[in-house]
Amino acid sequence: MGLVANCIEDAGIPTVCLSLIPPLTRATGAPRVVGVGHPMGLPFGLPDDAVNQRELLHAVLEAATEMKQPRSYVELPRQWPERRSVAMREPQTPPPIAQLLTKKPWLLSRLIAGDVPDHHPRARDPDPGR
Amino acid sequence: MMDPYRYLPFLSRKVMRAWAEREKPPPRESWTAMAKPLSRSRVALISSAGIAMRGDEPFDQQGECDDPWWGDPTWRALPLEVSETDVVIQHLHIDTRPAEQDLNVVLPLRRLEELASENVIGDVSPRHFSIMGYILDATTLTEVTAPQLAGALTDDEVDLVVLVPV
Repeated sequence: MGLVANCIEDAGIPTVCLSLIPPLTRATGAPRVVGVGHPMGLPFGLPDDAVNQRELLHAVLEAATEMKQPRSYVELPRQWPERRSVAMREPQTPPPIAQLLTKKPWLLSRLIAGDVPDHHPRARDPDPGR
Repeated sequence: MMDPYRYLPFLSRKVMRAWAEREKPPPRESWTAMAKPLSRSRVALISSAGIAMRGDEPFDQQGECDDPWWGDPTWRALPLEVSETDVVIQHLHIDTRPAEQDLNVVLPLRRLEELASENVIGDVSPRHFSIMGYILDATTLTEVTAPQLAGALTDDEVDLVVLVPV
């Protein structure tokens, strides 16, 4: 998301990135990053918890207004209400890349290196009309 | 300080940590100052949850199943009124059920409306956007998708964009 933020920023619109993994988002050079220690899939907290969702969104917006220079970062102190084992909701089936690496573990170094094979034939330019 | 890898399974933790350590920020720094106070700013959201309106083409999950190195790099527009019953969420790397129960978990538009009614922000953009966050090769994302999103946000006269990961 940091890469997208940079592009929008370059077009003249300010951005703020919420981040669940701040080292990764900050590594893109994104201008404004707000870290929050929430589990994957739950950036704004638990379903139907409007009070905490609003409080976090408000905090992200306020943080953005206080950031005055590139690569600003702030971490919001928030406690997740569940045990880690409960909070780690996984997809119902492992992602395709995880299934592939189970079968061919030697490909892990390729994933880490970002050595991605050539484009899939389905890849095509985005069409905003969709 | 938070442990940024706390909620990741072992393999993802290893990969993400390696990526964060390897990545070098671009030498040029992107920065646009906020032109208006928050209380007069129009705000839009971009989610990476892979959200598409029912009736729109959903994000391509089959393509990723066929080639796990590929992720759909396209984008979708979502109207302000959208709720969880209007959308299909396609993202193979998260449990999508919390977001399907309450879309505000990943795209807090009702919360944004509340903040607008309290004059914390100026107003809420009529249009918001989603991409699907699992993209290993960012070429199309940065060269096609992001500029198109920037164009749409400019058309909508947005003053501040909040990017929301999953």
